[in-house]
Amino acid sequence: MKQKLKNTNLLSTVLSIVIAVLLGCLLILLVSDEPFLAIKSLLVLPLSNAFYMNNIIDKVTPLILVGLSASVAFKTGIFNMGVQGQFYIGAFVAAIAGNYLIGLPTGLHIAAVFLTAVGGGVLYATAAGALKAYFNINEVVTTLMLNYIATLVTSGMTNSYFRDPDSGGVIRMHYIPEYLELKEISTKVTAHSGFLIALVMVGFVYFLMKHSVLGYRMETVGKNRVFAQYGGLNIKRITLICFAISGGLSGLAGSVEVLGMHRSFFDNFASGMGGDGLIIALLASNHPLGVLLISFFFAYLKVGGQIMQQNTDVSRELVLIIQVIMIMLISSRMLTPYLNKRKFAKEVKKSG
Amino acid sequence: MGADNQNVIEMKDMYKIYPNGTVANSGVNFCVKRGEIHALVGENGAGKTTLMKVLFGLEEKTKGAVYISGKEVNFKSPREAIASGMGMVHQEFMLVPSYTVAQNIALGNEKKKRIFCDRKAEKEQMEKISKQFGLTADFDEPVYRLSVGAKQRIEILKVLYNNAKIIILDEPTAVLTPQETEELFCSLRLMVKDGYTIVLITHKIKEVMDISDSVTVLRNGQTIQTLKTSETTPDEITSLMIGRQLKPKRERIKSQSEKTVFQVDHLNVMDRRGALKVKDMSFSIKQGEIFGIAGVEGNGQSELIDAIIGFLKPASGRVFYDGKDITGISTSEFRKEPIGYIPDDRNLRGSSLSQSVAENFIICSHSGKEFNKGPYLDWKEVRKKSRDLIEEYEIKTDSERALVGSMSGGNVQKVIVAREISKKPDLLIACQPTRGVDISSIEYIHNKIIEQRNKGAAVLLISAELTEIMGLSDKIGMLYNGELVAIRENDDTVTEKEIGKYILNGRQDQDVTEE
Amino acid sequence: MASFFFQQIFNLSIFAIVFKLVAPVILAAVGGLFCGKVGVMNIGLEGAMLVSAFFSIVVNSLTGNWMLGILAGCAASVFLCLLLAFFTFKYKAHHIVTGFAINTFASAITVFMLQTFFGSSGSYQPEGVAMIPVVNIPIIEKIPILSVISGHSLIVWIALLCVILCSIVFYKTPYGAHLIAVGENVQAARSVGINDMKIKYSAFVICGILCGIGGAFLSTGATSMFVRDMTAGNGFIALAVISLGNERPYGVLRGGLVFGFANAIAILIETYPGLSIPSQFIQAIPYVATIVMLTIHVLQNNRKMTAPVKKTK
Repeated sequence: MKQKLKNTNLLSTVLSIVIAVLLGCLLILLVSDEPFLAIKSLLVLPLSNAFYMNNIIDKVTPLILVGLSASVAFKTGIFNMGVQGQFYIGAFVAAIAGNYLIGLPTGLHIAAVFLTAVGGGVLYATAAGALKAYFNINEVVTTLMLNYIATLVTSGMTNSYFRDPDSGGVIRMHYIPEYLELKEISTKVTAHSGFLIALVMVGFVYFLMKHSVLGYRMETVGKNRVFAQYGGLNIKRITLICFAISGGLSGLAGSVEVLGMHRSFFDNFASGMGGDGLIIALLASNHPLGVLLISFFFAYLKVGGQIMQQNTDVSRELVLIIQVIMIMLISSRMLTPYLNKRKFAKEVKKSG
Repeated sequence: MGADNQNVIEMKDMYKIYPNGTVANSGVNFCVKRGEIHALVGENGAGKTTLMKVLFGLEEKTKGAVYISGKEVNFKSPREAIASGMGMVHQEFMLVPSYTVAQNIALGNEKKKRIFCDRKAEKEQMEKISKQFGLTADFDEPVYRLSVGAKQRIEILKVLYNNAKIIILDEPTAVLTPQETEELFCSLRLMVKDGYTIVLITHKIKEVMDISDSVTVLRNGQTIQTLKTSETTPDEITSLMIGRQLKPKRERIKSQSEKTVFQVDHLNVMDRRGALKVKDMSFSIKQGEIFGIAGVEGNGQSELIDAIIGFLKPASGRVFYDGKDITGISTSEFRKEPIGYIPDDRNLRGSSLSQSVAENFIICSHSGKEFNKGPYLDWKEVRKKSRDLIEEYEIKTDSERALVGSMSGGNVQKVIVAREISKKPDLLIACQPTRGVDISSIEYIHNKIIEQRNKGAAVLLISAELTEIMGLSDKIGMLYNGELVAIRENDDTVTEKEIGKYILNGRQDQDVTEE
Repeated sequence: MASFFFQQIFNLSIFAIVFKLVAPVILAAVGGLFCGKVGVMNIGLEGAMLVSAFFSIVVNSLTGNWMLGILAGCAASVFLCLLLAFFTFKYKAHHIVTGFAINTFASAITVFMLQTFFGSSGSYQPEGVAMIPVVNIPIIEKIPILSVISGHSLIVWIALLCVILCSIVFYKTPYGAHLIAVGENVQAARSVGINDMKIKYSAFVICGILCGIGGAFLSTGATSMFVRDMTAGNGFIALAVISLGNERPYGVLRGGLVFGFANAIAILIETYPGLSIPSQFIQAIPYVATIVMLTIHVLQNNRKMTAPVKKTK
């Protein structure tokens, strides 16, 4: 019975995605002068050659990590809306550590860059976590505020103190030394190896949520706080740990972007990242493997959106609109009752 | 019976089947005459409340016909029911805590002066009704400060204020002391004399005999019989209700052990607002002894428990368990001890409805060696143990993976009892362990508690049901306003009336007066 | 430096800044208060204001009429709020999730339209925007000190009026009594025949109107342009202001003013001659201030709750 329910849920997710994409196409038809080229650019071209495919893998890497970050928090019943800020802090710290810890042996330097970046994300998230755990201050407001603060402070720092004088019109730091860069996976798969880190993290979160004591505790807190408390779980500690893991994953995402993609910290270089993470976690029902799949789908849409914007008169913001339609359809489970009814009718037919 | 004007309510061949397949009513016939008190009795789950909710427009009927004063009606919302002169006092209080008594009574039927509320005119009418039926109330007091009995009166005032002539009361006495019940009945008799019609839902046969004119018995969603109260006996109603005779009272075995397992010493506890709720409380429980605390809800029970389990820090005093001082222990540490704890709030504190039976079982034991290898949680072992518990405790469920929220109240309570007793406790704390549970589960849970006592566990039982306290306890503590005003051996000389006097005004030698 | 501030405060220019900053926040906060009373923390305030800012300036520049602009903004904002209410109440989606989606949607659709219709990806600055008028009170504007209440945008006064009206509606009218009852105990409200859905949707419509006015002020009152994501967290700050005000209308006014003063001081620092702090740091002050004030507020509340304990000891 449970299995069947799961199948219907999966089916409704897939159907929601299809409907959202169709509505997106409809919107293209309405506004574009060359709608068929736009639709082709959006949906077909991303899969048409190796360059675009590698582009997809490059794009999927941070999405997986921020998606996992949000899903860990949501699973514990915590609305960490601050993925964006934690991501920027991680990226910023990674760029600083990469540029200024010069002189360390290579291996140590790489480790230091990752550790400080993840640490930055952890601390930044745990600040909101501590306010929530000890003073019961609503994390939605504080994490949203912290996003603005992180964006502005990293921007101010980059503009005023850490800016590369040779950066021309672009506001960015110095490029990190070459030995710190995440290399291409292979000669054929030219996407950077941050993707492998993301895959390892999918495994880590899967183990954490499905097979560990901590995962059970986090889920119990998420499902029923009061029950968890009366059962003797230490809610404060679990809340803090959850924020720390979530922030750490966001910070890692930031550092991977810097080390693998941009090789430097650019002012406000990924403004939609946090939002994507939250949406991915929601669409994946916080399941780590779901996060992996949905991230791929998003990366595909993003690359498609970019090609579409280059080739035609349709803005890539259209992709965001498609994503929002998806969340609305899925989070409201609008389709589930309809599908259940049909399934029920079918079964009745069979047995009758 | 035809639909003549004598019958103010007539429900014919009523069916109510919920979307999830639960059959609540299957062919109920129910007639009430004008100006009578009609008792609607049956076990928990017999379909009484559902029938009344359908009548009041809160639930939609599946099939059947409803006539009010001979006219067929089909209420879609309570608004329509209220407009046709009906009122319902629900089992749970339908009050807005931050509002004053007057605001609550007027809610939904405010008098207007232009676009504003006319609080003065409202109050005048309330005072009139209050005097007429002896339902006293302090109209400017916020409702959250009121006692349970006072809240009950507000509910009835609300119904009268809304001009109801037919009044449905759903288990109004469940939370009242015998004395408060008597006062309520006085008011009801006054109302009937004034031409009101009253439907009283209850499962207490004594009340049926005391106050009703007629009685309709429901069982398994069907009408068994409608009788004139004057022509029947308590035994007849009982056997109609449950279809079998009740078992005689249990034999009490006196514990031989002298070892004190649990002791509370001069305990004072304040609630989170800073009000002193437990005052200088002292008692101790020996091995193989059930200590029952009787009291009206809200007299310090929850603060006492919260202080024991480490949810609230006591202001002063000590708590000892097994010779150790556990005062101010954290809830996590407390739950690691071999102490079973059955909380009063089943759906929030006791279980996690959106998690599986297995996940509910291991809340205390998941970090133990049994299931735990480093950070790794052995789900295979967890499921195996869960299946064993499901079998042992006769829990009705598809599998250990079923969500607790999909199960009946009695079964959820069994999950909690199974979890707590499987800890092999030498102290069992049970708060309202059978509230809202069907009769067979009540009996099962009572037997389990007795079984633990006989195995040598000390049991702290907190209940607002006097029959439960008197049926199980070896010793009874009477709780009034945060104080244990008396502690008595539960022998044949203890009567319900005596306990009632203690827990209502803290003293034995004084008749009940209005606060 | 001290004398600089003294001068600024003394010539009262700080009040003009405060009111300008605070008006949209208070409007959104009062709107959010209506939703809060029926039990929904509406994080969609941000998106509602944003679409209003966009549509009001577009209609304003097309028609040359600021009232039509506000109306169009309100219509868009109400539509978004109703969408949120629909998904939250009808389909039981979590309101934080849908609110978040609404914000993303608002951000995306405004940029999408900006690009599709005006060919710009960042901002839109049309000719001939009819600005929402400023209220100059005759006589008073000439009296020294008192003149501080003259010369503010009409919206500032509307915001103040909304706080007063909100208080009257909540505590003096049957509608307000029903609204609060629905939020506190919906079963109780239903049992006396109150149509809770009607109340809930109406709260969201009111919220939409208020956010609409606030959003219109951003693009056609405080400035005369639309910039992508120009609400810049004003809706979220409004949520914080609601908690600062203990979920009461006048509390919201107080919380909003405190927030406004903190902000105005930040702006004064920014304009202090010869100061070399990066402007982004100064822009971050409102958000830091919000967190700090929220923390202080909660700590104070906690102390209040435990205060009697000390007394009885």
